[in-house]
Order: sequence, then structure tokens, then C-alpha cells
Amino acid sequence: MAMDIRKIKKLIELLEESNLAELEIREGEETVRLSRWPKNLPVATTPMPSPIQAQVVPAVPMAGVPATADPAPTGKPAEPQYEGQVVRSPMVGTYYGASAPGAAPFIKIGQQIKVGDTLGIIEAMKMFNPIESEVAGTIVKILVENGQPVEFDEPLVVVQ
Amino acid sequence: MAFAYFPFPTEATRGAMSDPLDAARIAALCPTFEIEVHARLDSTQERARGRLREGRREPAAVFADSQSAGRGQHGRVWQSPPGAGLYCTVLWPSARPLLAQVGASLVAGLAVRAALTGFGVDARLKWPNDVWLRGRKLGGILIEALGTDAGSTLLVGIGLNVALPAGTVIDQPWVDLAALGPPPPRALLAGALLRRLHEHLTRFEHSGFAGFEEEWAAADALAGRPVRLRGAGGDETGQALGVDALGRLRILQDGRVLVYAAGEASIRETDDV
Repeated sequence: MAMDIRKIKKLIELLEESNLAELEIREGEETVRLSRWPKNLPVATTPMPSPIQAQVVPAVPMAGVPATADPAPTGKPAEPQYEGQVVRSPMVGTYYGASAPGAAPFIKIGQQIKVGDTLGIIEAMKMFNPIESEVAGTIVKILVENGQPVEFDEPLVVVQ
Repeated sequence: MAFAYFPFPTEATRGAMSDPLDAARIAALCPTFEIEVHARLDSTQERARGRLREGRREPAAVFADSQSAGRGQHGRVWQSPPGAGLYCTVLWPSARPLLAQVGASLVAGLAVRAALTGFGVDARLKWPNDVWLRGRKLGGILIEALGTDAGSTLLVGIGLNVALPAGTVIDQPWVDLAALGPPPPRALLAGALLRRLHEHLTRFEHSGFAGFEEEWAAADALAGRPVRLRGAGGDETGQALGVDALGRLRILQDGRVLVYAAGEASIRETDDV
């Protein structure tokens, strides 16, 4: 068997420590798909057991999510189609549109940008990921606000 | 290996003469990193980025005796006068994708704590990565994570107060190692720090944050305490209950446990409701 149990165990660990709901690996003819949550569940929700059960699932305050999983699948509206290149968040975190509070924003609508220009910063637990543009063009949409929590793969900016 | 240490006493190095940051000495203690030591830099973080721009992606550690624009959280300047602290950025290439790096900042804090323990210093960590001693700030960590084709690269910036000049003003109560007695030579501290970072980041590379939960519990300055978490959406208050398997802060609020990945945590005084 090409994909041994240790490799699958490793994949499970990777899935568990990520915020991914599903992971599919193809190796030659073999495919392993690991899935842990029903589709359309908020990706930031963690299924960690907790000594105190959440009674009600509140509207998510700030970046806080209930420590127990929401058992009811919540329908996510289909993502709108954008014309142009959509820049997406590479991780779960908080979006910052400027290098410091009060500083000028990295980007504005209508601004020309080059490859490598900083479009924003995603922070998760004091780890900062500068979002650098992989394309040159004009900023046509900024879909997130300064300080807003963002999900993995969430559209942030549209460049044309 | 780059050695950029200036052996002549200048205004910038005077403070360091009694306790030099010797690149060869640090490298001997931790041969797994390329070591750069500078008398003065804008910031070690910026210099580490410079290495990446030069295409040098191997594990490396950049030290500066002083920084003119040391970076703290939220664009704040990190006070870094000559000879007063340990200012370092570790460049760590990783096969983990960006989204699997969350938690690395806590692990870096645990490495700092482990290194300090070796010198008899019992530091605590305030989630996610402030280094505390006797309830005051001893140091801080700032991680930049950059996506690469092979995974990601971490730039782990560490600032530790070793012997700050009296009268230094920082935006919060601070402490330095000199408060406990004569501090260890900075080169020894640097070597121990790099060794622990290498150990901890290697473990994190293989198994993520999950294996660090016990170590975190022993280091946690907030566990069980009433806390306030200041975030972009306002303040949240409750009782800190440690972290989850991803390193996120767990807070008991009105009978529910919520987990947070962002915000500035502080301990609430009991009469501060």
C-alpha cells in the first residue's frame, strides 16, 4: 500500500491543527479525502470539547467563536462574482489596512499598484502576514475593513 | 558567514563594550543558524527581510546591539538602546503553509521562556507572546510570516530587556534581567535562545501547537485570571481559561467558553468591572 497509515495519521494531524474542513490528497492512483465538518460550517469554529457547553451560539463577537461546534449547518451565501483578480486571505485572522493605527492606508480605490506592493496585513495571534500583490493594476474593490476578522480564502481586494 | 560586529568603541557600541555580542561565540553555541551581528540597524526584522531579498533562505539569526527603528506591535517603536537588550530576528524556512503557522508565536514565546529558565529566570507568557517577569514586561515577540512556493518563512523578532537605562519610558510597566542581579552575558543568552528556538520550531514544524499545551499551561500568566481582551470590535471581559489546541485564548464569558485569535489581553483588577 503506497499511502501508509503513518502518512494518513500525519494528514489527520495537519487537518486537525489547521482550520480546514476538508483535505484531499492524491498520490498516483490513490486518493485520500479527510473531512471533519459538515459543509458550509463556519471554518473558524473549532470542535474542541469544553467543560462548559455553549447553550446558545451567539453572533460572533470580535474574533471570538464558541468553543463548541455549531451543530446546525449554516448556509453561506454564494460568493459574488468579481471582474478582475481577486486577492484572498491566506489564513484566518484580522485584516489591517494600515501599518499602524492612524497611519495612511496601504491602498485606496482607484490606486495603481505594482507586483509586490502591500495590500494589507493579516494578523493571527501576533503573527503578521503582509499581503503582497501578485499582479499589477488598479484597485477596484476593497472588500474588508480595517480590524475585520477574515476567514481563510476570503476575498479581500479586487484588482483590474 | 557574515560578521558585521564593529570592534571599535563608537557612540553606538560604547554600551556594548562591557558585554559584547560576539558573533563567533553565539555561532559556537548554536551552529544550526547563520549568525549576523550588527552594532546598529534600523531593525533586525528589516535586515532579515533583506537576506530574503538576496535569496538567502537558510536558517539565520540577525542581532543588533541597538536599533533605530526597532519594531513593536501595531507599528510601535521598540526601545532598543546600545548594550541594553537582546534584539534578534530569526529567519526560519518552513514547509508548513501559512495557515498552519498560526500558533508559532506562542511556541516562540515558550522557547524564550525555556532559555531564560536555564539562567534561573522564571518568566511567564501573557497570551499570545509577551514575556513577563514579576507582572511586568520583560520582552516581546513579533512574527512575520511570508508565503513561499515551498511553504512559508517565519521572521521571528525577539526583544528582551537585559539592562535598560534607568528612566526608560515604555508604554507599560517594564522590567529587565538586571533587576534580578547581574544579567548573563548577552552572547550566552543569545546562544541559549537560538538553541531553544531551533528545538521548539522544529517540534512545531512536525506536529504543530498541539504538543505544547502542557508547556503553555505552565507558562500562562493569564490562566484563571479575570481578563479584558481589547479588539477592533470592542472589549471582551471574562475569565481566562488557557488556550485551545490551536493556541487560541479561551475565555469564560457568561457561562460560555469563547475562543479568540486576536486582541490585546490584560489582567483586570478585581474592582475594575
